[in-house]
Amino acid sequence: MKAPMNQSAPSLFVVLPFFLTGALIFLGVAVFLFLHTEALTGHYFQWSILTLVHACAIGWGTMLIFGSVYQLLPVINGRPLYSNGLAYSTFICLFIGLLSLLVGFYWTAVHTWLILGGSLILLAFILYSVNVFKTSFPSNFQSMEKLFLMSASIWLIFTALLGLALAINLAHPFVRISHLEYLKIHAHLGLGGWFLQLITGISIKLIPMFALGKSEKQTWLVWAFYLQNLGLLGFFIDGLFFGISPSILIYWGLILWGTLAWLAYLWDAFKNRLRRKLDMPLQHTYLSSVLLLFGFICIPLIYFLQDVGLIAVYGIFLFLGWISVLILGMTFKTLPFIVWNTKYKGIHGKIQIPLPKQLYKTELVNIQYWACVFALIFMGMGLLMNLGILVKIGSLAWLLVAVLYVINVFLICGHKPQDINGNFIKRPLFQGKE
Amino acid sequence: MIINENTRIVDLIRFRKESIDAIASLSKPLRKLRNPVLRKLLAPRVRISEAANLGACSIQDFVAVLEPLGFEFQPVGIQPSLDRMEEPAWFKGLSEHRVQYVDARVLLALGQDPLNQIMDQVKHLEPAHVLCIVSDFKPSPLIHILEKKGFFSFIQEIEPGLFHAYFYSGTQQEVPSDKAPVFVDSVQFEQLVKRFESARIRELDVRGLSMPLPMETILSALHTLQPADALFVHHQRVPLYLLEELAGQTYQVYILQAEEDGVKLLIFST
Repeated sequence: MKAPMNQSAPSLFVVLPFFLTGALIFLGVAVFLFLHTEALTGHYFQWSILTLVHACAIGWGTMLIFGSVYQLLPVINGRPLYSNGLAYSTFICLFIGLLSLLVGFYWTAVHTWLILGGSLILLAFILYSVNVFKTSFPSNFQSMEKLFLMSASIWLIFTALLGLALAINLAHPFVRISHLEYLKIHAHLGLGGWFLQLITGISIKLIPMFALGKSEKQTWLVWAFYLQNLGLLGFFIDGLFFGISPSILIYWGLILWGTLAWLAYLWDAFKNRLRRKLDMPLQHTYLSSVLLLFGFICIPLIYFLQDVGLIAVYGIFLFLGWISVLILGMTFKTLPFIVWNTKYKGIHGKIQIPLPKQLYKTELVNIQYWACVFALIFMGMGLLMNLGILVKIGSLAWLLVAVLYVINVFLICGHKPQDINGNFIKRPLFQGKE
Repeated sequence: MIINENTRIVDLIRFRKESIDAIASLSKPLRKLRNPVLRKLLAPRVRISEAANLGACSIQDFVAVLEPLGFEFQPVGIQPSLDRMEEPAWFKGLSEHRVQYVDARVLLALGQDPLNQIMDQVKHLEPAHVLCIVSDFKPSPLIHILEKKGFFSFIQEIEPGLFHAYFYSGTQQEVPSDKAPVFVDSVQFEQLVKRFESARIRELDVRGLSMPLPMETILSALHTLQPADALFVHHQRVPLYLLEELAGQTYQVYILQAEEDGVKLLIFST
């Protein structure tokens, strides 16, 4: 069934707050990281690390992903978003909830702020999930990307529920096993349930499209779905009732198997691609996948070695490496397109106008990529060798990444309609409502 | 001193300082040699043949004023003249938006050395863009310098005493594409369609297809499109990823954004 173009295109004003806020929080995270690099070398249960991780996971990763999903859902489903109002509400709840949570963490466990923040974030996740489910139903259930998107949102709610329970536990202790054990489950439901499944779902749709590749190996995705979810479910139930034990390596194996099945699918599509030359945003994606595999390798090592430096490397490679690098690239495959669609919708008259990739500075994206590589190598080496100066240099490079990214995001969002020579376009060239 | 048409002006001046006045007396453009800034700029880079071009006089005129100063002229042959240049492939169909201008006249009037600014522009020249130097003489030294750097040049005399020197860094084979998509209104679109006989137009409706099938269908249709044919596509939305894909190729795309039934595209090979 076809939808008229103007109805199925998502509104710029639904997704823009997510992108702009996410970019600014990312810059804030980079500044915080640069000023507090010493926190990375200590134990992870410190308020500064918890502040940083939540700002990164919710304020940056989840914020940007919500914006992208609200943009992609109408495209994937061929129908408009179920509710723009729910999308705005998601943003408000998420933003206020995050602020409250960060205040709670940074002012060392002010429990009321943590519980208030956790509740609002949970509400935001529920609103988001309602929008995802309502937009995806009732259409045929065959598409794997929709399944991944929906399972990711369920895991997201579980992650938030567990996080909220932890916040309540700080004020009124009620959990049976160690708080730290629960924290590990909470963190890995977020990483494996939310981020991994969501990224799997989006990538199987977008990467073949961007690379102009195709894979017939749909069954690999079915394997990926069941293996990832089976592993997560086992980890969640086992961990919740019996704590972290050697059996987590079985769940780790299942999730890794599911992840490899997904990456093999992408590789198959990539091998058969028509577009030989990869652009910078896609190169970010490949770097991100490699970093995810590094993260996987770290898990058994951490389990047996319990090395603080390795745990920090694990966190850095997953949050700044895998998730951030992916977003740093994919932003330029999504945001310019929605801005273009809004600014140039209904344009008429013989005129040549810039393409989406001309809405930002590609050379800054190139520098951003290499600064990412540099920052991750320096931070990784510094943490493993316990050399603070290397971590500081790496975090400075990461600050550069954030500044370049924010400049480009603001260039795209502030773009004014113009022709290819840079002359601003007057309104008579537009027809219909803008 | 024995000289020929390839002797540099700076060598003449080094041998006899009076050469400055002798050459300056030949024509108005050559009076610039009296300006120390310009002399420093031009003299090491300009040969007698180029100076003759620049001053719109002959090599014999140079010989006539230089021999009394003790120079002996022994010709080696004729230098290729810029006047005989034909429009190169990269220049044909070059659109204004790809040209970056530097007006050397303004810089010279201000007593500045334009070479630094030009080299700076060269360094920051966008890919597939062309640098145009506007001057009141043929910038022969610059041509030498930039050709050594692998640039192609093309000089146009717009009017007597006004020259446009174009420099392009790509190879002759890689002629930059000017095929940015064009957004047209319904009347213009109809006129474009009428250019093709109906038998030469292949119609394709991708509105019912889910992503990324529309793009794949269009690309495979283009793959089998005859050179004289056109593809008429009905699309649900402006296919931005497709447009970016086609941007570097030899296709011209015209787009009509219709209100109700999506977008119409006319794509043909150029």
